[in-house]
Amino acid sequence: MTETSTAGLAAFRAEAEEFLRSIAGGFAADEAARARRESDRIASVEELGEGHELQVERVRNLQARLFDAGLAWPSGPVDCGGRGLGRDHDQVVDDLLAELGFPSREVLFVGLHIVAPALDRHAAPELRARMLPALYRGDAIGCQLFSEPGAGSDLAGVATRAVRDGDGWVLTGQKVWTSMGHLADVGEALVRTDPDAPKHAGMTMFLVDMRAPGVTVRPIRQMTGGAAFNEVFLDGVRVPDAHRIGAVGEGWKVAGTSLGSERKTMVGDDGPVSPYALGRLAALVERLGAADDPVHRAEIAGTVASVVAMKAAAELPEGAWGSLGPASGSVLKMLMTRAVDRMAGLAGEVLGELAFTDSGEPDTHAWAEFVLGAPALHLAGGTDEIQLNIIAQRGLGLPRPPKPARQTTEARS
Amino acid sequence: MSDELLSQDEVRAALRGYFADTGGLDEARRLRDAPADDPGYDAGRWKALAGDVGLVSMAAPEGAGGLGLGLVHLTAAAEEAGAVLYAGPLRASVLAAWALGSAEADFDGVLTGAETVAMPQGFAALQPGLVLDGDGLVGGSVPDAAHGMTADVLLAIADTAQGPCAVLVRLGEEGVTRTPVAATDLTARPAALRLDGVPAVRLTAPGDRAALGRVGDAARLLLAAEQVGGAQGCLDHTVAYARIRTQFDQVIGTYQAIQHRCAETAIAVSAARALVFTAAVALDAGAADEAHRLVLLAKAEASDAFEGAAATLIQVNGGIGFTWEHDAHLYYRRAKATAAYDGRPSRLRDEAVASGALALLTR
Ligand SMILES: Cc1cc2nc3c(=O)[nH]c(=O)nc-3n(C[C@H](O)[C@H](O)[C@H](O)COP(=O)(O)OP(=O)(O)OC[C@H]3O[C@@H](n4cnc5c(N)ncnc54)[C@H](O)[C@@H]3O)c2cc1C
Repeated sequence: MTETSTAGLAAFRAEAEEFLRSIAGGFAADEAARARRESDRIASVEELGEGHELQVERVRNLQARLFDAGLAWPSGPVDCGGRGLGRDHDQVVDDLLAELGFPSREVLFVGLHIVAPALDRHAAPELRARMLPALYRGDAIGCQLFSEPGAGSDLAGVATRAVRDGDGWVLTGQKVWTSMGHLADVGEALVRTDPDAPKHAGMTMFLVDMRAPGVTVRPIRQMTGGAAFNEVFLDGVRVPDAHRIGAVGEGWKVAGTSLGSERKTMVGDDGPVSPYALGRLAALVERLGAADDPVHRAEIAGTVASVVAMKAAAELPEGAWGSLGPASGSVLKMLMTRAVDRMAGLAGEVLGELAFTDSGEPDTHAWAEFVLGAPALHLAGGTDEIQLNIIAQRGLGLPRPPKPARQTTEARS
Repeated sequence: MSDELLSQDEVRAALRGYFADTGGLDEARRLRDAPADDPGYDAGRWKALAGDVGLVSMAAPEGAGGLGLGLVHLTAAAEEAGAVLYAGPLRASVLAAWALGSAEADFDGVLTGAETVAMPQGFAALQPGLVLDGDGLVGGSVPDAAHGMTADVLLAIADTAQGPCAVLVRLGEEGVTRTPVAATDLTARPAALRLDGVPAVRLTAPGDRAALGRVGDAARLLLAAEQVGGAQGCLDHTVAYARIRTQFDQVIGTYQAIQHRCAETAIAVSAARALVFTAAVALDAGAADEAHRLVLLAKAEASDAFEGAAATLIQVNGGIGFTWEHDAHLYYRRAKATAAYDGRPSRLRDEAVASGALALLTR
């Protein structure tokens, strides 16, 4: 991370603020943007579904303006449209966007925080130089083609095959739970290239063109009612070898980069514990006078503590993690899901039945969507149980459980 | 060591190294069977820690020859001490040195660590049992001053006609009576102190509740840091045992129930550590109201984390964990006792909300 002087950061903030204010009118004037800001909606997982095309276009437009002004990726490398500044500069832009009421850029989350880090770190120079600016400019929306019907927690069990064919590969298989898959231009696909190699060694990562022949995306309706994730069928999809991310057989390593970044970003301001949601919750508690009610105080304190702990943990210096360091991303993810649970719990507790039947009173039933979204966070990005396994084994050094004895033919007969 | 370059990670590493070299838990272990008037720690080793390692001068104001480092560094040190249940007068001594900014009297010994300091176990929440009169003489009692049998100086709160203030009192003076007190925490070594017209020096102006509150918050925060360290110590011992104990032909640490219990403990410790850290940053920055709320929440979380970690330590050790010889009860005793000092978690959470903790949600 680049060190920044306070003065440098302040100057950057002034520059960014001036630019954002100069374009804010265009976004505020936008009917849909205003509707969104003024709407009651509050979600813990985004529900982009039908009818959101306009919103997506608006976000692409915003991202392009940011990129062209050098504000889309201040911490990024200069040769890919970044400015080589510290990460605190990214944060400045994120904060300003939220403060000034710009639309949420959630739709870009997977591309920017899951796909881009893998490209940045592992892709060949040509692919990297072409795709990173495209993702950061909002020209390409990304999705993550990792999970399969038979490979969820056991992600290394992916069965989607890639077979070499001339200067390219042919992909066949099925992916599932693909967030933003229906909007995506590119997908980061973890596939098996060597069925004979050990499970973790036989995988390779590719960047798939989601509009290529053979790609079929079908929406899956979420329990919240929206349809932000999908199943994706890959039926003989041709992918040029130039679209490989990392070496053949190194897919697991590339996936690690994406997953690590995903977990880290989930605890940031773009994640479910957003300044927007926190502001709404604080206002709700205030409006209902819940802090004056002894019945609610423990819940309020617990919620505040969990949120503050999550944010502060993300700022802890290296030495404070001790041996837990390699699993800090999993700890942070668990602190995030806890904070969301507590937020949902507090909203549900202070509102009671008001949350769950729409009385027409603003800022009441809206919280039901937040409550309903919370379970997703215990699954997406690796389940709670998997995070606990990682913390125990990689962080605390506890031994891996023994592999179950392979059932032999003799034993079965 | 330049103060600019001394990071809290380096403080941690220095203390970790010191305790590793001096036998870790050995000092605490001895206290299982020590009489109540045993000081609880080795005076020579304390001098090395306070002076050579520079623990006390690190906290002392720059004007007094210290490094003037803040609570971020002190909490890191207190954590490491808590992990080995260190029974030396660390909390009271560094707190007194840190608070000794504007005192008019000569307390060089406190600033260098040559003079040890006692203080009430629950400093921040205590009703003052001492009265300071117009002649600068203090009278009354402190029922449970940690290190009270041996300390050179007492840090306490005394009432005056203008309101309460923090005071330092030399315990070698005439008019001081010390009586050992039994305590659940075998490493606490408290004494009941009776003071009868003993000269006192004010650390805060009488009635200056803001200044007193700052010392109280620092005291409570250092206690919370020790608790986080205690919880970490429990976790380390739990994991170490889970890696060697075998049942059903398997190391118990391979069982997911055990792994997840350890991981949950690690998460709770991390959360409490983060709260202590952010509260220390706020106190150092002089954000008094915000810091006060954060300290209350940090102490509540640290108490829960320590109690939980100590229970897990016993559970994962099985029967051996419930024996007198095992270290587990030393941790368990301290966890239970420290959770009560300065307010049980439920009380602290209530106070935090009453003092405006909701505002922390959007800070
Ligand atoms: C809202 C949402 C969005 C998502 N977006 C994407 C996406 O964009 N791209 C993508 O690739 N995936 C995505 N996912 C998929 C997500 O990563 C998986 O759902 C998750 O990894 C769990 O896999 P699974 O659903 O197959 O459950 P399973 O792996 O079948 O797990 C079922 C249960 O068994 C438990 N379990 C499994 N293994 C173990 C073990 N070793 N120890 C203890 N318990 C175990 C799990 O914790 C869980 O409780 C998304 C999921 C959700 C809910």
